[in-house]
Amino acid sequence: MTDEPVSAPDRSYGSIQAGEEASFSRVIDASVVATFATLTGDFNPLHMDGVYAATTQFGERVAHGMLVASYFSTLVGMYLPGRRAVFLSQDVRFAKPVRLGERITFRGRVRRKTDSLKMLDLDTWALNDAGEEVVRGRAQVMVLS
Amino acid sequence: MNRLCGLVAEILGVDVGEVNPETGPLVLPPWDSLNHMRLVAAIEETYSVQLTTDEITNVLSVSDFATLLRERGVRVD
Repeated sequence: MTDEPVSAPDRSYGSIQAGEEASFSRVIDASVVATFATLTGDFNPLHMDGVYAATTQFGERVAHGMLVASYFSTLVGMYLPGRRAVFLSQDVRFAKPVRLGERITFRGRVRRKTDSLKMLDLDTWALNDAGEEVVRGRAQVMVLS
Repeated sequence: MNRLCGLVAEILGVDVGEVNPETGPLVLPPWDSLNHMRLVAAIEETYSVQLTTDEITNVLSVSDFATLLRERGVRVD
């Protein structure tokens, strides 16, 4: 299931304010995990083999951390800033595992703007329904003229 | 600071004569945010240092880069 906007907002650098936020949610289910494994070739059994995963400290399959973090691309490219975004860098920290079927909310906030570079510095988070941070990061994004 | 200016000129694709310690994105159009990140990568590799995210977003001139390098014990010549 996809819930991205049909088209990304066409925001100029000047129209974006420090402190501005955007967010969207997505369920990370087995089909998403399988698609990501096929796309990347990462079939690690912690993500793909329930029997194996049950023997680990996690007790069940968990989503790839990079799968969860990859939605920061959606956040930047489709929400904040949207159409004019050029992703320059992204730091990520995996804070908690994401179990299959969890609904995750991805949120970004403009931490600061660097006018001379037309660059946004964003704080980025992925939160579960309990409000716990599962991935956190920071992104730098150029806004095309 | 000739070596650092030369590196900046090489990454930005400009004549080294266009680069001095005060050069930054406000005065040199090729210094956009994409090239800013390329500059950071080249400087980190050339001088074997790693800049923090805050430093990367705050540095806005050749002399700012030189200051960060000197803070890490790098001789900037």
